[in-house]
Amino acid sequence: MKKNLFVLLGAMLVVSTYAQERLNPLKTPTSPASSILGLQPTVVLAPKSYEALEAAVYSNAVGDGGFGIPNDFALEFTPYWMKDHSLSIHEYLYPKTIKEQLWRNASFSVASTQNFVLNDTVETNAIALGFRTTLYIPNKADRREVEQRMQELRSSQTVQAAIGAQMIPLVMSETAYESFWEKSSGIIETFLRKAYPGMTSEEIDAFLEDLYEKGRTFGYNSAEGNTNFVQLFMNHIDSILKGEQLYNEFEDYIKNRYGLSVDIAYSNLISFPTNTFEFSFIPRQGIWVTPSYKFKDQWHFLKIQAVLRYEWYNTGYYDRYFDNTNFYRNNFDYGISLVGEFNRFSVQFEGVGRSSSSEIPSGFDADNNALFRKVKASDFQYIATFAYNLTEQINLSYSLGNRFEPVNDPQSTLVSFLGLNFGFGAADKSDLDLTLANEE
Amino acid sequence: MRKFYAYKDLEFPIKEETEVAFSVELVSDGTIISTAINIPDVPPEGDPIIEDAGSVLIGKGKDLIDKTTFVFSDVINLIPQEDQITIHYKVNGELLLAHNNPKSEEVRPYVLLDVKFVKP
Repeated sequence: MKKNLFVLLGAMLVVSTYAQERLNPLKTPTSPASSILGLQPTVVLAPKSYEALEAAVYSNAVGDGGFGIPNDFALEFTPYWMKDHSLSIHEYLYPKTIKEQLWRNASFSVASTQNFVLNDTVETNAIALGFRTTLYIPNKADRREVEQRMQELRSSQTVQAAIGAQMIPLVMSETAYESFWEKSSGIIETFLRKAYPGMTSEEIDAFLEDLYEKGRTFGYNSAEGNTNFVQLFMNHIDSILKGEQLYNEFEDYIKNRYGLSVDIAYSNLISFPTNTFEFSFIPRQGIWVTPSYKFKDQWHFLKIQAVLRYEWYNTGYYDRYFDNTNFYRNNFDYGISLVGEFNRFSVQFEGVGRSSSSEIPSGFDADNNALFRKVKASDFQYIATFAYNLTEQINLSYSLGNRFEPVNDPQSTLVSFLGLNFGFGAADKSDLDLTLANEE
Repeated sequence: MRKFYAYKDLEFPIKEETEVAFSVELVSDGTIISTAINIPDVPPEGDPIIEDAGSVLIGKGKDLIDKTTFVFSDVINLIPQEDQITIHYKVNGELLLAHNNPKSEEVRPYVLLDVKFVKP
């Protein structure tokens, strides 16, 4: 499993906020547990095996004083991928049942901190648990796209495998490059014509000429056991057939397939105000449902995304531990965003509405029954984000817009944020949650 | 540059009258592979190719013994959840070779097997 490892280094003009008032991203968080805890982990552990999972938990939770809550700890694990299933690429792309698909995509996340600050003064322990999965609805356009890409890859692979199987014995039997080429060029041409029936004679001649000329520079050596020449020779064939490009394009497509997909996530926060296990609260829970649709053909650069997000706050807890703040018990966010990706540049426009409500005590009736009054509020956030990939691992972004009114400073709704993100390991742009930089 | 994993001088005992079935099994998930088997004394266009997993008959033991059979695989793995590429090459159901490489090392390896069938 790839290791998601990202570091958020640069930020300018960051608006101070409370956890509830983050610049809510219009997508399901990669790690729901870290998100609800407001944690910005530099490393999200993603163990591939149960042994690695045990080691990750044990090494972080056990200290000199025995078991404890790890500080700034984030872990995400996907049970299905902890062992091999010998899935073919088609079995991988098209699970037979919805249940199987949901289980394959299911990931569980855990995050914890020893610095969950109450009333701006008291540092306490807190743990968050999260779950997320994705449902993808296959469609004809996706199947056509996959089949076309598979066919292109398969042609390239078949030719290369067929040629590769002939090269070593030829190199071993021919002492000079010219005689090797005399025997191998006919074989290569035969396999090319078979795998690429649409190739013209001129194209095949150009292919062979390029290969011949380049092959002369690879240090032909027929000594037994020498595979250097064959490696260089095969790599050049791969380069002419654009093997790497086909691979990269297919890999990108798998991460961003045409059609409808729905991300579903849940997380909750467990707070230990006295830092003892016996006394705890669940102050906050959240559910995300994020349908997104990727367009095809001439609109392939467009993606539309909606979000439905429900967050529940234990107002009794916040009244007790967070002075001078006003949290609503029920918060329902609904929004939509449009994303356009043009090579290295991407632009996103999003608008999110929020409807909040609480029931607050308002006295007692004649029979001494408690009475409650319902209070409601609504708000709206709209933000435009422009991003540019300086390199594969460095992303520059700028966000401008109007955010939800922060609890501590309702007038500070302007968003103007410039971010520079450096990714390491196998993280990609989809792993980077640019809005995390706005959280506190 | 794509890495080249060459396994040389692999030996497999086989009786002269035994039909030899060569098979490829994918252990890791989402691997896409084409495997060509260069059978001795068979013209190149007659050599079999296995797409992904499968099994092909490559002749009787007497046609293969004391000669070298070359097997070449073009392998790719592009699914993000997988971090290893593991392939089992088998002869008549018995494991000849287990190839394994981490994807951090190579996501599109070439695998070459140089197999000598010998009398038991």
